[in-house]
Amino acid sequence: MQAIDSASSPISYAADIRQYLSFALGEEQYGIEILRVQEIKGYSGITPIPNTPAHIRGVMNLRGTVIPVVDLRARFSLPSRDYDKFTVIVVVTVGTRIIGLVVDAVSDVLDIGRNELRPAPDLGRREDTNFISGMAHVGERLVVLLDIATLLADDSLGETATVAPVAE
Amino acid sequence: MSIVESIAPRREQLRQVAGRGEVIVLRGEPLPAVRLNRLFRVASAAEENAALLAVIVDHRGKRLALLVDELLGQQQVVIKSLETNFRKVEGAAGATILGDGQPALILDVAAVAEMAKNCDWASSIPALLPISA
Repeated sequence: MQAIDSASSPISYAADIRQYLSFALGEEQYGIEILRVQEIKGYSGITPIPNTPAHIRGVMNLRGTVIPVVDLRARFSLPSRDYDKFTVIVVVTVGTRIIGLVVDAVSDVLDIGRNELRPAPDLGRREDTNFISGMAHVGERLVVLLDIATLLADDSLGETATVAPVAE
Repeated sequence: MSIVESIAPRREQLRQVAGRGEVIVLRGEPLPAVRLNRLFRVASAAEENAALLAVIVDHRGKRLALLVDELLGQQQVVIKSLETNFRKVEGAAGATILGDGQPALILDVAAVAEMAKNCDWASSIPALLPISA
């Protein structure tokens, strides 16, 4: 409904503002394009998969479909933490695949205008930042916006690198 | 049906073979023994207690003993693809969803036999995965 309303409004709202789901990993705030997010689930029922990297926690049952679950803390080499009642799995779609991401807690949905987006920082050659699509200041917070397709592409999750980006 | 029988091997039935692997001597016949926990690098409580069970499987006429912690039961399941959202998992034919909603892997005996052939047992340190999530 909002898209229809904004299309008829004098300022072109939808074209310049994107919505991101923000979530926390430790002290840091991250964002994923909301169009990639399918649902948010509590952490439960993960079956470990042998001989996979530590950040692949295993697979879970999503209404009869078996989907992989990636721990983003482990993926970013952050110190691990016990899962608690705020720990959730953000279920995202990347191309035709459905993947669960374990995060500390989800925060809120942010509207971020294109002019608020800052490019990913250059942290030196050793630090690969391809999976950061940009950064944004939201109030007091600095939010790191993730390019999920790139992040998961080199994750032995299959050929996710070839998928098209989310439609504008 | 790949499974021929399941036994609780006595200590003396399990034999090391020239540091290259183990066999189970079953009714006078030595069968290659595969410690699934080492192949899959998971911790095994039964291995420490020497309380493993051996599931004898038949793969193209060759018999193989898979050493496991415990047998839980037998049931018919619907095979779900792991590749739809994830990728091929070596040694697994697919997954299924158990009655409690938890996914479980389905072993591919042929692939497990192949993995066992190429496994460097000395370097396969167990206890890299928790026993349960």
